[in-house]
Amino acid sequence: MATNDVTLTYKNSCTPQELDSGGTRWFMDSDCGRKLSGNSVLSGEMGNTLVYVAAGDVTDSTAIDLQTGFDFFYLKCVSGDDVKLSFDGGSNYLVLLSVGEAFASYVDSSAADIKFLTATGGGSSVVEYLTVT
Amino acid sequence: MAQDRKIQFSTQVVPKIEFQRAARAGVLEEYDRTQAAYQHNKLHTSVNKTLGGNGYIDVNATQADDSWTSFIAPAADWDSNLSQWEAATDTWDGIITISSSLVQLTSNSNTMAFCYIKNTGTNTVKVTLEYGAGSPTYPMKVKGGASVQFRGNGINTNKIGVIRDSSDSTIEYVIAKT
Repeated sequence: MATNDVTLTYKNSCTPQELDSGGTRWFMDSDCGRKLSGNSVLSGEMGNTLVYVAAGDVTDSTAIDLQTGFDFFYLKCVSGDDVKLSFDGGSNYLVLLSVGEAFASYVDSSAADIKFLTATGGGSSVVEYLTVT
Repeated sequence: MAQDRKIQFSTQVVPKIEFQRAARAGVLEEYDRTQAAYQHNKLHTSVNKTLGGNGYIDVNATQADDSWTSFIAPAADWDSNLSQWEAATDTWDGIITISSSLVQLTSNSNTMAFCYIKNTGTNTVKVTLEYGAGSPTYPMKVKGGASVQFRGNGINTNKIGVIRDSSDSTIEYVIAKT
């Protein structure tokens, strides 16, 4: 790798859980049986232009539009109301984030504009996001 | 039937940048502490920290059928498996092969609460949120060993599809309804 090349290590993990019949203890879900996790290192397959915004303000009428062409995208709802996320330029907001939750993915070049705004009418939120192009 | 279900989830991102440490002179009387220049990764200077978040979501205690995960639980035994074998959509090892044909994770049309997809193979796969559309887009790519997860916002479980990028791979998944 050359100086100033960007590398990203990311991990998404989840643990499905199931309440016992007595209603007192949570166990790992008996349909899955284990914790689920995947991680990856992105380096050569990405560009090297990283943009990080620690505190972006969004409302239900003021979306942040990141346009297209990203290799990697990360978004976190830091505070405020739920945030909804669109991968098709705002036609459909199909992903939801509540406070404290984050989304991270390697992005395909076919994705349209990435846009996000609050899911609640009259609401406002602070988000943190990162893109690599 | 389960009493109740929930899913805890977390995401972590570590952005790094390649950095060249300059050569350092250091010849002493008795020994040489000179260091040559070398490359290494450090936290990206635009971020200077690791990123991430976590949460949990309540999902429906009674999922539509066994196709809400790709697994048959390790604890399940043959006698207690109530699926009709010829009608079952899940696989014994929980692994779904992804080729050049778009694979719909479940045909059940319920409001989606949460989706997790891991690429258990070595070749990249792509995820669409508009299965059944004439020309679906694939906004998310998942490399071998990586995973992607997201909460739904008015999307149905039968809209999630996966296709290979250039070569076949395999996945495991959870797709839960509200």
